[in-house]
Amino acid sequence: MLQVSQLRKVFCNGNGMAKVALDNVDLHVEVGDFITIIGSNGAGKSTLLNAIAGVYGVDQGQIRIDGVDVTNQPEHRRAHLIGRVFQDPMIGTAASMSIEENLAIAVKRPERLGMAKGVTGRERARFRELLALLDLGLEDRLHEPVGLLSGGQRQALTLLMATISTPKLLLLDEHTAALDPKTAEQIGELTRKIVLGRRLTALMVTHNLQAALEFGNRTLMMDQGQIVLDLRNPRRAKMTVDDLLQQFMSVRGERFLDDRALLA
Amino acid sequence: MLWSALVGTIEQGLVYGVIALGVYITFRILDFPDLTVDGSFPLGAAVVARFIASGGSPLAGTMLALGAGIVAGLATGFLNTKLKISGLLSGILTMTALYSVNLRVMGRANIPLLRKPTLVNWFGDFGLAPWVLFLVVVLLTKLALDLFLRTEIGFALRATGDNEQMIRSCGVDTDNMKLLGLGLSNGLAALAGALVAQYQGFADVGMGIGTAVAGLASVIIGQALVRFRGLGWATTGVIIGSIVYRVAIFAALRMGLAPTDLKLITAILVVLALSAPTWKGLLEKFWGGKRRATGIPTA
Repeated sequence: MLQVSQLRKVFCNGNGMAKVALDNVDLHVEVGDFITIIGSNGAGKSTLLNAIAGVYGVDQGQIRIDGVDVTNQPEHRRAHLIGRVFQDPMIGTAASMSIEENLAIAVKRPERLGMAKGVTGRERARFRELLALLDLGLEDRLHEPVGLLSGGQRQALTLLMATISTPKLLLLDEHTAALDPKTAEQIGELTRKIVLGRRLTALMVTHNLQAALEFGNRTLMMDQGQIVLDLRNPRRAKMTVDDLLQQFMSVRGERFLDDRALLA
Repeated sequence: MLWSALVGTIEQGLVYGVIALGVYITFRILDFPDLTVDGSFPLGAAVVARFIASGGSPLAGTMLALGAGIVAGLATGFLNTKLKISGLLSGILTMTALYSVNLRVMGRANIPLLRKPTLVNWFGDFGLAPWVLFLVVVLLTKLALDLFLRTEIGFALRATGDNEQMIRSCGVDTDNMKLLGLGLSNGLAALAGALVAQYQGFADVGMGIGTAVAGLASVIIGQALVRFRGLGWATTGVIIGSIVYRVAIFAALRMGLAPTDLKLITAILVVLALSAPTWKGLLEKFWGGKRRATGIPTA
């Protein structure tokens, strides 16, 4: 489904200092894989997701989604293949537009937009059904601007928008990190329900080692722009959070001390 | 005397309402502070005046003006989206360039249209006052805009002004949306310029100064007066705002202000409206602080 080969991305700051964000990353993702990605800050997790989504170009390497080489396609051109949920609940939705208008934009992701009516009655009925599945009461608030929703509600809506047109690939970038623990858990459950229920292929970045093992079928650990650990079953099934922490420590060495606060 | 002056004021409010709708598209929907309209408004006037003066039909000239305005907007959009020049500067650059273009189009600084066929005269021949023409144009523009903003592309345009990241990840090329919005907005400004030239009987190269700010003032007044939610109301508010703005200007003139002071008044009006949240915060802080000072003795 996703084939990333020899991907390299270097960021330069204004002083000419270069930082290798992705260091010749190779990744092969099968259809239906639900992969969790962990790593400390600056490990390259978000950069990998952004590179796959096309937010910026890469310096080297190739990205193929479902057999199509998208390496040089701009973000909007490959958007029909990809659904995304961001860490910031504000980014995934347009605040001044209503719930149904946001959904209408998302549902037409694979199509060329035209001068047809933005929301049709049939779409509205479908949106209502899908929103009811979220169990947040949003099905009765179709006409309300998204800006009135809470962070958790917005994130649930973003998740629905990202998956409504069945993307080939779902990219989740710490999408529960900005939420309170209870809401984070709800969004986590919803994510699991949608990804497994619809058999989506997903990459999920998380800081939560517990979640990294609980969710999905494969776990990657990144460090300094490289994938340093690729856990699959049956080995992964036997892993505990402590084991993972040990792995993390051995990879990070002395720098681990700095990460402790993050992983607590 | 007063009555006819008031009718004239409302006529102005209606025709300048077309520009206000254009400014609403860029400033409010697209969140793009576009100053191109200061150049595209006189561009529309220049094109129609030159066209009519050389014996062309007023209707064709007006359409030509509309097209010229769209091109001007696209030029600003090109500078911003393709050459990555900031939005504000892109508009200023196009506006500045248009000053020379407008002089080239007209061949001189001023073209009179006295005793020439104009759309206003055509309507007059049917016994219809200019306000009928302007009302028809501004209402058609408003209705078309309302409908457009409810289409798929209209959704994409609104989302581009709201959240670029979101709409790009939904597969929309935001560059194209900005080009579209700027083209539409400046097309409307030039259309209004063409109508104003035919209404006042001349085109002048200096007539565009302050167009964007006046349009913005109309949008702000409209938003303050019409507080219903929904798109249909927003555009209605813009037109009402434009009329109220012209009436306010008329009142200021009657009170003895010189016409040359009006730009200052307009600018101050917009500054006050835009800084209202800051003033509110400062006032609350002041009163709050004072209350604390009297209530709790300082250590």
